[in-house]
Amino acid sequence: MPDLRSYLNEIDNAIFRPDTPMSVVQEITALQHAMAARNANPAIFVLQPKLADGTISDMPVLTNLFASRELAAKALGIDDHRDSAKALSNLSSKAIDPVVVDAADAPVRDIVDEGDAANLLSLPALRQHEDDVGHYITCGHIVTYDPDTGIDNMGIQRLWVRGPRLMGCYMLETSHNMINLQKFWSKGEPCPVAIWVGHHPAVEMGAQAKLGYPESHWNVAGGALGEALRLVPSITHGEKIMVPADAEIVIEGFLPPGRIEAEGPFAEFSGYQGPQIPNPVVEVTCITRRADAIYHDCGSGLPDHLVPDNMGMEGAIFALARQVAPSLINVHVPVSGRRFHAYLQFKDPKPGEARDAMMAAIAFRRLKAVFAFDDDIDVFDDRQAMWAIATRVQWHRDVMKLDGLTLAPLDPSAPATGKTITKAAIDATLPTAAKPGQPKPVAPRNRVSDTAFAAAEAVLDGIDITGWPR
Amino acid sequence: MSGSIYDKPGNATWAQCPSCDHWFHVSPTLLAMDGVDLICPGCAKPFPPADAKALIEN
Repeated sequence: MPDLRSYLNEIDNAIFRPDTPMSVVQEITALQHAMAARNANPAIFVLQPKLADGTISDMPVLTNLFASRELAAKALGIDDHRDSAKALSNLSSKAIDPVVVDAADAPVRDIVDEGDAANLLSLPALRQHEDDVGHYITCGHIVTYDPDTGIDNMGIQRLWVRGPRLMGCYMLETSHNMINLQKFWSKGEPCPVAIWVGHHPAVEMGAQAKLGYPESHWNVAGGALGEALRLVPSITHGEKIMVPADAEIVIEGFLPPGRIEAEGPFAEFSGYQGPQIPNPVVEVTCITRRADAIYHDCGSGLPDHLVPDNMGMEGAIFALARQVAPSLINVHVPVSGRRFHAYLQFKDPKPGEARDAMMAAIAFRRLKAVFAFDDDIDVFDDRQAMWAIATRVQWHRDVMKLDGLTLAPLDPSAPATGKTITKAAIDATLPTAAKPGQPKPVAPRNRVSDTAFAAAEAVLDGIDITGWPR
Repeated sequence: MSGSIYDKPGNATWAQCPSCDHWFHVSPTLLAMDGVDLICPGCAKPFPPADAKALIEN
């Protein structure tokens, strides 16, 4: 069964392993920032994570696993990351039902710590950024279920480690996990929960697919992996909450009804700190793990955090917009725009079609702005996108503003009051030619011939340019 | 020109810890809740919003 460690073996030459201890308090995250500044995106495997008390954890920390689009796409079986929008637009159609295995065949059951033996402080959870309120589990897949149907839901949500058996749990108001929690709480019952950490990245990305409610994520995660996911009943909740047998760590517990406490601040995906907010807490009943478990962290607000989610958004947006615009050929949700911008690329759109597509895309809740480009613009290159906006947009003509749309969560520029915002769609496509075969009725772009370009490339071939002025 | 829709009024709320003077970012929703303490990221001390040394509200 493919799992996290089999994947790490596959990408061995794409892993950076610091040979000195690194503190879980900001240092490992700082290394991710330093790498991002260099546009270098290896996975980072810290064999000697130094805990807040100065001791060295015997559990290694893996982070930056998702920072590279190329690696993330390949983990999903997509050869070219530029094809992820199309490939992920129909992920649900590739679903594979999970299989249930015996606990004896579940590596995540190597070690079982129940009750007072369970100790969250034994995990090398990171305190990633200045003014984070504490140490956070950032790559925990939270599993709850709908008490009416028994159908599971799953989502990554930040978890603040507050004590050996207590965590704060950020639960977005509109999340499906929050719907499940409210159903239990409305009956005065605690909401059962299990959190799994660490698996093959295809499982982790497939588990995050945007689905309807209630709709199980296990089969979509299996589809992303290309084979049935192996599940095992949780210790605390039995078959009501299944967990991946091949995960690294599972934390089980309950969200007690009505117990709301302060959680955060926490440095968020936007690149800004999310405020301290009221949230439920998780009371932990049990922690199970592999004997040599790897702790998987995700660098908040870094490419590690943005890339996999943005690729999933690309699939969802492509599916939405393609329904109204057959000329749509690609979607990119660039890391530069966090989760607020989407670039739509068209091949010979009919008049009005780019705008139609942008109207469909802008309905995606997280987006604040969408941009339309022609197929001569590489939508994976921000410089080309900005050039097209600078040279093809007339602001009186090519900008649409739409008022009263859903607020993008954690948008640091959102108004202090109100629940809706204004979104924008910017059409940076060129006008179409009057007749097929004729040039477009605009100035042609500067070009050098393919021959001249090849000659220039040949001159540079093999030359070390690292010392050249930038 | 105060009151123009083009003004940028700010949108973040801050609280100052009564124990260590640390300023931190809080949500208005949390401040409005009864019986829920703030927790200082600087010194980990919990305190009711009314006990904050200072608040900056927007």
